[in-house]
Amino acid sequence: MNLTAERSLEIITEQIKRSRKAVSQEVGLSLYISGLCIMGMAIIITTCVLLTGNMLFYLLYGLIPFLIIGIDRYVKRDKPKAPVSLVGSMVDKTWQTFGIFTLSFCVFAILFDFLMVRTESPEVYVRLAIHPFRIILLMMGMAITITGYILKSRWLVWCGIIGGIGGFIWESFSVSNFFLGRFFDVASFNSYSHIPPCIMVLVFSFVGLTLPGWMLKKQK
Amino acid sequence: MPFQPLDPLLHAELRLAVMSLLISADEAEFPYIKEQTGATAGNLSVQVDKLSAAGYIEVEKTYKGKRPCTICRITDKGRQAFEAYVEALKSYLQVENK
Repeated sequence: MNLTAERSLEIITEQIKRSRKAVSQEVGLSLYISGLCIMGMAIIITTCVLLTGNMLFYLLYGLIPFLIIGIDRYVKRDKPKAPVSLVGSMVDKTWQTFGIFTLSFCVFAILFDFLMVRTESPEVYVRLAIHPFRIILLMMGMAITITGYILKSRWLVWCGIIGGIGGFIWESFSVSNFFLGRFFDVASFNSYSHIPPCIMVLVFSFVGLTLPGWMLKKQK
Repeated sequence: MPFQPLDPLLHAELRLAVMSLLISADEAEFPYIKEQTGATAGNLSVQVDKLSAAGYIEVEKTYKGKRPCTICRITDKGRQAFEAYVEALKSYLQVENK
């Protein structure tokens, strides 16, 4: 038995760190895949809407969770699954909680706006309509930040804060519309009005999901 | 302060690494343990059998889709043994630090 007390302690510490890192890398890969899926879908949907003018293409956003789950499973099919640890289950529970709240809020907002547009005058509708997108960005930013704290990843924390708060402010002040209005005249602006949400989705997905996911995935 | 005896079954690099991995996760698949410890499949298998024979871990052979999958799970006895090992380790470290 040549194992010293220090070496024993080192082994224990090292394995606990490795467990945490394995969870981080798995979460990183999932974030990376999610970011790429959302970015790809946003570009496809916006292109289809711009080319055809058919707003029903926006419903394709509902396929994103299934697309992410499918690709995630496919990419991880040959990798040994990180075990269920306290850290991993905390990350899972965080995303489940924010997922439930975001989805419920989104459904409520869509139904509320749907009823308002049919029962109220345009003036009242404009004042009372819920714009769920900015709240979704804020909630997802929070989820990313909390995940960063759990995984002790400073990158993830900052990407969540910048993505969430930045996205909320960007969307609240219609920054995309502001820039679009500078480059296009009124007629063109209306036909390109589908681009700003796409830009926002792209920026948020890149800052909040793809970039931190890539950093976590690549960590040594 | 007298030295507390160290459990000889845990006082081996690979077995300690396996137990340390399983202590933070209730169960883990064999390929995951192999990847994290950097051990060969043969050596790891021998050490896992020893831990299993001592009742420190449970080994479940199952299937993941069509592929065979071995899952290792820490038992209450294993958890207690690990805690006792860490307590014993402290007595050595305290003496070395003085």
